[in-house]
Amino acid sequence: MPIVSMKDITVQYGKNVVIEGLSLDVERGENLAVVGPSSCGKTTLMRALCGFIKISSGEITLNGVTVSSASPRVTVAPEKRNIGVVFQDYAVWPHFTVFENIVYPLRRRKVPKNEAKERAMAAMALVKMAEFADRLPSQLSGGQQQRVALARALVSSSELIVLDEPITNLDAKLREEMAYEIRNLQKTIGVTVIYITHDQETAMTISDRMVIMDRQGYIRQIGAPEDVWNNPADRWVYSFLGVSNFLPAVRAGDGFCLLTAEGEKTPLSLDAAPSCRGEKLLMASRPTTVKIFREGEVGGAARGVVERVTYLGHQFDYFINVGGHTVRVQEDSLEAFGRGVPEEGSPCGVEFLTPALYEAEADDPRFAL
Amino acid sequence: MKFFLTSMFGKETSRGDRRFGLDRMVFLLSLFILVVTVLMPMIMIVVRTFFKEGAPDWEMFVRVVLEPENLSAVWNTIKIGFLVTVFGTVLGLFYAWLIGRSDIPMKGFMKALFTIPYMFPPFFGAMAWSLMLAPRSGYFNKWFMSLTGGTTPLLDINTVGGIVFVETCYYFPFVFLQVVSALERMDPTLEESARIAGAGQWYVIRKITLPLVLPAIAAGAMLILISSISHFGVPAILGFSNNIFTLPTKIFQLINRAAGSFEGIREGAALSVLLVVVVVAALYIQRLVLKTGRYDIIKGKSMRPMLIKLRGAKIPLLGISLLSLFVIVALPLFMIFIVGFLKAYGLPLTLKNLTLRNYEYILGQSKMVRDSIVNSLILSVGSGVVTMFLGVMIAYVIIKVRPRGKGLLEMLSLLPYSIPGLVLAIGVILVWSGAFGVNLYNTIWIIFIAYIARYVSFAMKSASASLEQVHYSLEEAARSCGATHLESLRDITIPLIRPGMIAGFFLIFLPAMRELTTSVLLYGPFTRTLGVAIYAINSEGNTVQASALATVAIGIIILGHLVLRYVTRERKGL
Repeated sequence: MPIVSMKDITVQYGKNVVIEGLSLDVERGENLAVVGPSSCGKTTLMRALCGFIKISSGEITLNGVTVSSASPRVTVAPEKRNIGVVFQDYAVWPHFTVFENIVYPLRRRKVPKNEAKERAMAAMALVKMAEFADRLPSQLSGGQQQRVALARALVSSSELIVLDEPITNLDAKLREEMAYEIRNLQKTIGVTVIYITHDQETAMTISDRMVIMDRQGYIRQIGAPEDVWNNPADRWVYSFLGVSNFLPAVRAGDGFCLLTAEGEKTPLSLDAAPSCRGEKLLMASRPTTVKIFREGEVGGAARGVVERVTYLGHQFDYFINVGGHTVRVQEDSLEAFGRGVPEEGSPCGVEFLTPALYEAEADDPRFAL
Repeated sequence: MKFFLTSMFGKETSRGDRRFGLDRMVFLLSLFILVVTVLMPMIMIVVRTFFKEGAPDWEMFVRVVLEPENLSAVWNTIKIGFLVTVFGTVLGLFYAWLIGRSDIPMKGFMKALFTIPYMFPPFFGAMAWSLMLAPRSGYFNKWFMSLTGGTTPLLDINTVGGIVFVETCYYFPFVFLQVVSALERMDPTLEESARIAGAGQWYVIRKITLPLVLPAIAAGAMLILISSISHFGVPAILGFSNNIFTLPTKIFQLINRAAGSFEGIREGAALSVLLVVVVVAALYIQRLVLKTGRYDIIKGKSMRPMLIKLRGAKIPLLGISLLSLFVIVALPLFMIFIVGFLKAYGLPLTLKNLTLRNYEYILGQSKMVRDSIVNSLILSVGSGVVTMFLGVMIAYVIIKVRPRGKGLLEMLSLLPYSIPGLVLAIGVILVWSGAFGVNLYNTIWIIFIAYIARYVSFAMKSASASLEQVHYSLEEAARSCGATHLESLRDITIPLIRPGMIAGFFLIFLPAMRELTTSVLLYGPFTRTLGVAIYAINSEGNTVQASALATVAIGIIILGHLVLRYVTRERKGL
C-alpha cells in the first residue's frame, strides 16, 4: 500500500485552478522528488497534502486513511496528519532555541519529558547541531537553520517528511553537501521523503523517483532519475531537464533527413532509428552528446561551421551552424586542447551520439518550406 | 450585502482555505465590536440630525447651519486650519531639511526635542502661553508693560493669531517627521547625478529633492489640517474669553448650554455632520494631491545622503533653530512647572513665592482631582488593554485569515482616525444613553466605549505592522508539528508579536491618559478624567492648581514614554 495516494485531485484559489486532476502514489520508504518550473503548483501540492488548503475535487489518503476529500467533505487538520515539513524559508521559530524548536513537536504530542529530550538530542546529533542546542536561530547561518528545520521535521514524523525547496537559499557548495546529507539520512532512517524543487539537478542526485510537473500543474513524467534523463517522455521534459538542441527532421524512407533552413534535406545517419510517429519531427540532443570533427578529421553525419567558441574553464562551448540552425556543443577542455581548439568560421563535422526524436508541433514554422 | 452574508456563514474564503470555528468567530466578534462602537455612533448622528421622531426633518439642520454664529465658527475653523497647515508645513519643512540634508550640528538633540510636542496635549501649550501672553495677566505682557510704563500688552494670545501660533507649535512635527523619514530613505544618487549633470545646489533642491518628497509633505500637511480642524483644547482655552469659536468649541458650547436636553444634542449632532463634511473634504483633497505623486525611488533602507555644507550660515541657523525650539518646546513646559509651585497666579516668579500647597491640595484634599487621576488611570489601562487585543484580533483577521469582508473590517477600524473626537463623543452619547435600552450616560463605561472607538485605529496599525513580520509558514510549521490552531497562536504567533502588542498598548495608554476632547462631553459628576479636571480647574481660574496638576500629568506621560522606550528597544532574536 502506498503511504500517500492522491486520486484525481484539483486545487484552486478562488477561480484560479492551480492543480487539475492530479494523481500520484508515493511508495513507503522512497525518496520522491517533485520537480517543476517555478509557480507550477508544487508548493500547492505540498500544502494540499499537509492540510493547509482544501482540495476541490478528488481524494488524498495517508496510510490508507482518507485525509482530504472533496465529497464527502473530509479535511483532517494539519496537526493530525503526522507529516514532518521543512518549509522553503525554514520557518524556524525565532523566539525558541534550537533545542526548543526541535523538541516542540514532541511536547505537542505529549511525549514524556525525558523521552522527548532524548529524541530531540538524537535528532540534533543526526543533523550535527548538538553543540548549538542553546542558540537562538538568529545566531545561526542559513545552512544551520535548515538543519534545525530538518531535525524538527524528522522528530515530528518518522514516517513521512515533505521538504519544500529546502536548499534553494543556500550557496552552491552548501547545497551539494546538504543534498548529499538528506539522501544519506533518508537511507539510514528509512523515512519516506517528498522533496519539492525546481532544480532538476538536485532532484536527480537525491531521489529514487522523479515526478516532472509542467507549468500548468500536470504531471509529464514519473520515473527513476536515469530513466527520465535517458528517455524524457516528451519534448517539454527533454528541454526542462537541461540545455538542449532541437533540429527539424523529416522521414526519408527508413531513415531521417535533417531539414536545413533553406528547405534542403541532408540525410542523417542515426545508429538506431528511434520509434516515433509523425512526419514532422524534432531531433533532440544535449550539448555534451554532440561530437565535432575538426577540419581535416574524418567523420560526422552532418556538416557545419563553427560560429562561436567560448572557453568555460572545464569545457569549451561552441555554437555550430548546421544547415542554417544553431547547435550548441560542449567539449571537455582536455579533449579540445588535445585535438586542437577549432577556429571560429572553420568548417567541421557533427555527430549526434544519442539523439531522441519527438513529434513537432503541427504549425512549427521551421517546416513551412 | 451578499458577499457579507457568505463570509459570515460562508463557503470559500479568498485564499481557498476555510478554517472553521476560531477564525470565523474572531472575524465576527471583531466586526460586531466595530459596528457597535464605531459605526453605530456615526449612523446615530446622521439619523438624529435628519430625523425627528421617525420623520425626515431638514429644517433643523438648515437652521443650525445657517445661524450666523455657527457660520462664523465654520469660517474660523477653516481659517485656523488653513493657517496652521501653512505655517506648520513651512516650519516642519525647514527643520526637516536642516536635519535631513545639512551639516548642522546637534542633530540628535534637536530630533529628540521634536518628539516632545508629540507627547503632550496641545491644550497644555495653550495654558502655558496663556500664562505668558494673556493680555493683562500674562507674565511677559506684565514685564513688557512695566518696562514701557504703558497699558498696551506686547502680544495678545487670546486671538485667532494666538490659537494659530499654539496649534502650529504642536502640529508642525507631523510634516517634520514625514519629510525627515522620506529624506532619509531617498536614494542620494538621485541628487548626486543632478549635481554631476551640472545643476546647482538650489536647483537640485527645487527640481529634484522637493518633488520627490512632495507626497510626504502632502501627507504631513493633511494630517495637520485634519488635526487642527477637529481640535478642541487650544481654541477652548484661548478663544472662549474673546468669543472666538471654532466648530468643535461651538459644538461643546451647544451641548453644554443645552445641559443634556435632547434638542441641544440634536443641534450638536447637526454641527458634527458639518464638521465631518469639512474633514471629509480635506481628506478628499489629500487623495487628489497624493494621487499625483507616487515614487518608488524612495527606498526602504536608510542611506547616507549627501549633506549640504552650510558654511558661514551654520552658526546663525543653529542659533535660530535652538532658540525657536526652546520657545516652542521648553518654555511652555517650564512655565507650567514653575507656576504649579506659585502661591497665587500673578505673583512675581521669585523663590519666596513658591510653595508645595498646590500639590497638597490637588493630591491630598481635592477628592475630585484624586478621582480624576484614578479614573484616567483605569480608563487608559483598561481601554489600552482591551483596544490592543481588539486591534490584534482585527489585524489577525485582515492579515492572516483574509475572509471576504475584510475590506469592510479594515475600513471600519480605520474610520475613527478621521472622525473628530468630539463628534465621536456625541455619537456615543446618542447610542448609549438609552436609545437601545442601555443607558451608560454619566458612567465611566461610556468614556471607555468612546476610547475603544477612538484608539482602535492605532492598535490595529501597530498590530498589523508586527503581524506582517510573522510569516504564515511559522504558524503552519507549528500545525504540522502537532499543534492545534489555538496552540499555534499561543506558542508561536502571540509570543512573536508581543513587543508590538506592548507598544500598541502604550500607543493607546499615553494619549488616553491626557485625553480631553472626547471625555469633556462624556464625563459625569464622578467620572472626570485627568484632562477634564485640568481643563475645569483652569477655566474656573485656579491657574496655579491647574498648572500643578498638569505637571503631574506631564510626569505620568514622561514615565510612560520611558517605559515604552525600554519595552521597544532592540531585541535579540526577534
